Amino acid sequence: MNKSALIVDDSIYMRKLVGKVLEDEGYTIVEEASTGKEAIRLAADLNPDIISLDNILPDMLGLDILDHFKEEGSNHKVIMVSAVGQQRVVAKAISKGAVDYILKPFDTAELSEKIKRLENLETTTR
Amino acid sequence: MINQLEKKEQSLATGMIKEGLRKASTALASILNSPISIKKIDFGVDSMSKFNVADSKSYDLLRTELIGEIQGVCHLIFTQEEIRRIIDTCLPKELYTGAPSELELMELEFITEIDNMVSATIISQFSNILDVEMFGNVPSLHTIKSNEVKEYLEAESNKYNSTLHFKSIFQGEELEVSPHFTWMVQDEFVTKIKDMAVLQ
Repeated sequence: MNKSALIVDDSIYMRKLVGKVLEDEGYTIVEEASTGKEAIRLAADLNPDIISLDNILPDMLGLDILDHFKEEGSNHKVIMVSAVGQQRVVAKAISKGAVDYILKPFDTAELSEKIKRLENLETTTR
Repeated sequence: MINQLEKKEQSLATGMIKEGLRKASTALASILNSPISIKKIDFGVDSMSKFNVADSKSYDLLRTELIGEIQGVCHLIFTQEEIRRIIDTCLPKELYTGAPSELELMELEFITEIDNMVSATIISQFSNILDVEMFGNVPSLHTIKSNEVKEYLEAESNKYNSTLHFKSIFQGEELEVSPHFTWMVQDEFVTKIKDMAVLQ
């Protein structure tokens, strides 16, 4: 069965770059969002297997979206992909439910590796 | 303003800024996939105005507003020729899938994303070391003529009432680019540096 992905980033360049890596890892990009509002709506409608989430969006922070997911009780698997490298932000993202935090600029091989590792982890904990 | 700090405070501030700029040059090199070095670092409001206006080139100013506990603004400044060279050389062609209008948007957002990633390295450095919450807002692009750059930067400094100014010139010999990276930061930075100096 195809795995589905939602990519949330205000930059089309970054959405395409992350999308290419996810597609190479066997994901179908079901939708892309450039704002927080869109991301919340699409995550609820499509329930993707994985969400790639930027932190600075034009209308809200990625951290706020993680809060929203938590409040509504949804357990989306979210990988944060952001240029924001503050230790406190990374720690907050993980505590709010993100499964990983990837710092931009990233090496595409590194992102592939993290996605693979995440899947292996799921397989072993299942 | 940096000259008005005590010796220890000055050393902390310049050390942190230089390390931030080193990380910024590494990030820029990673995005462009080409070596980038730091050609020069200047401090002080006068450094903002040291801009070659003798040519008739147009410049692309990538602007990021700093929000949070420390406010201000930074600009990554390229000539339009440099921007074209970066797009032609560094934007992966396999990402083009759509219509010409999407290509135009992709090019613009590739460039603004460069600014986002480079400015974030310094913002993270300030945030981690000074223990403050701060972010860079979504970047924007402004194209202006060389003879307007100085005036534009002065207006930005006045708008933010900035007291700390520094500028780095990066050098990418392979790509033939030498962007200017200017920072204007409000008083809170100095207060935080003084607090940190007391604790050390």
